[in-house]
Amino acid sequence: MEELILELKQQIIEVLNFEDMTPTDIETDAPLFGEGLGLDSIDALELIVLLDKGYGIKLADPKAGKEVFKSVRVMAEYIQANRTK
Amino acid sequence: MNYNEVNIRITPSSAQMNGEDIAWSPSDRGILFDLFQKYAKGYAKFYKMDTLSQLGFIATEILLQHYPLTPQQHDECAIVFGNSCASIKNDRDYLQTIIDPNSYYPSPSLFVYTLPNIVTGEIAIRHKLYGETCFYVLENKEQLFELADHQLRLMHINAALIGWVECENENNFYANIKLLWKN
Amino acid sequence: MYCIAHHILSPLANGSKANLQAILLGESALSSYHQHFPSVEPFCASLFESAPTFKQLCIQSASQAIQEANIDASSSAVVFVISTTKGDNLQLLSPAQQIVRHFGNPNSPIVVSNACVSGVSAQIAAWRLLRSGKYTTAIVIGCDVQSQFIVSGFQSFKALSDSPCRPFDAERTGLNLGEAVATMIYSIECPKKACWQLTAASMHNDANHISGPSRTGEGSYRCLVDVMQHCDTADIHALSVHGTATPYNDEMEAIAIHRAHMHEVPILAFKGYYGHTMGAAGVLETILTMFALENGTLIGNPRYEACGTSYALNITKEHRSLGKLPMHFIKMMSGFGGCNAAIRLSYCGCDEL
Repeated sequence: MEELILELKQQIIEVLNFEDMTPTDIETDAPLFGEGLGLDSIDALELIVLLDKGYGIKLADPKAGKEVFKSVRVMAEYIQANRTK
Repeated sequence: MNYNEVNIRITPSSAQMNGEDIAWSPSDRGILFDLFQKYAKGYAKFYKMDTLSQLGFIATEILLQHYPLTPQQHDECAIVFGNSCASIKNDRDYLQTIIDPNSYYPSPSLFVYTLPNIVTGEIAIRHKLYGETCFYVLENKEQLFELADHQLRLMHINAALIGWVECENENNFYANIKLLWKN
Repeated sequence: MYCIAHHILSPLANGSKANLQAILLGESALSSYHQHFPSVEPFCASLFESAPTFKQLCIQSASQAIQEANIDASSSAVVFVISTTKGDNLQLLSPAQQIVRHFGNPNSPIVVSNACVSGVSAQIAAWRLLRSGKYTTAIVIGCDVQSQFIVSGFQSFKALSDSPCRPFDAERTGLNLGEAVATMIYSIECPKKACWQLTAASMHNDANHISGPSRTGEGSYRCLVDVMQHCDTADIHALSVHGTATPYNDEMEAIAIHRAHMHEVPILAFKGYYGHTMGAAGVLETILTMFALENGTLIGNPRYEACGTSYALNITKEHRSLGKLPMHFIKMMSGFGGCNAAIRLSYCGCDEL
């Protein structure tokens, strides 16, 4: 699980172009949207692509992303339970 | 009514304001990144922008830091930009995400920049400019400056950014942006 | 600036009149497409069967409008203003130059690429060009054709509905894409017959987000305030909205309209018939609004059942009778990049005859 969390943080930094950040800058349990990392609606859509491309998970309804993208830990748990690759 | 006018030019190898070279510390990351480090470090959205937006953004940033607008001018400042190749560089980047049927993952963050007017939106957001924003695709910059200048005077616009911003690829770009304002 | 001729070519019909007749009968060319473009998911859109090119469409529509206006398009007093987002396979300038050359016109084309707002921005550009005194006539053409590029992008944005769209409805789930070309010919001279005149125009940015509509409708609201100067709301007979049927756009427009105290003005929304025709939309929907009002009809919004925005608007599923001679209407648009535009068109019926 810890490995997946680190991998996810690295991917988030890469696909969302967080140039000045390292995985240690992202708190595992902090909210990704709003107060925490401050992601916006396009970032959310890009995370949907990440789930599909990296883990074979198709999230058809962007509203479902709200639950899945609560924090890196929630995301990692969701991936572990639903990944197809 | 006459306008005050200042301008900035940026190419991959030079940056000049009102004809004078702007000093910056070159790195291997390229001029846009270097100027960003000097003038707008901390504005993380910069990294998400396509090259065309980065170019227009940083050029405007430098201009407005040297020549700040009044609150009233901010509220009304128009952004009229143009070029001859629209968003072609970013269009090609987006195409890369859909061209291979075995790796078809259309990228929303690239797609949003496949419109040339997004650069005007990025600048409006950064500086809270609520005036008109428009993007033209024209044969040359003289045509844009003539068109925009006429519009400015006709509409009695108080302040405007008029710019030719062109980006064919990462190593081939050019910005020539003027800031005009009434006293 | 007077509109002296117009033409629409859409998957529904050829000609402005034929298009209006089709929507009066409730027809639509929206249908489902499976594997129409490589790799894209199934989608619902309004597409031409014969897959014409951007250039062919522009030339065909402009030719018919030029013929109707009976003008010499090769004159140096005529300027072409072309509204498009993706042009001919991502090329915008070269097809525009070819179109202008086709008509023997000596002037450089003005291409407006201002996202979904382009068609209204192009009319505003035409107005200003004519007021410069350099030209007497502007030919405004709006056109876009669909492609894997556009459909895949909107799908990545989760913005498409896989069934016919429902602007402003509580059950709306997204937009449909569409293809069309529409031409308006504007002249500085009154044609000495009843016609529409562009009487006010405004553009504003939201300064909020590059893709998400403003939560306060700021730019759109400011546009409405501008075009309502020296005009009574009671004299505005229709508000021809953008109405994409995405949850956020329609909500934003409802907020802006309410803030401008214009929620009692009848709403006309055409995306339920044509889908979102992008660069064509601002021109196409302006023509349809003019023509519908001249015909004495307020066009209904198909599949509209229940209000789906925080503020209620004056919107119906069925067509309604206008019941009076038209005076003014407003065409408003909003798009990516935070841009918004509105124009007021006024019916010029008798006083100059």
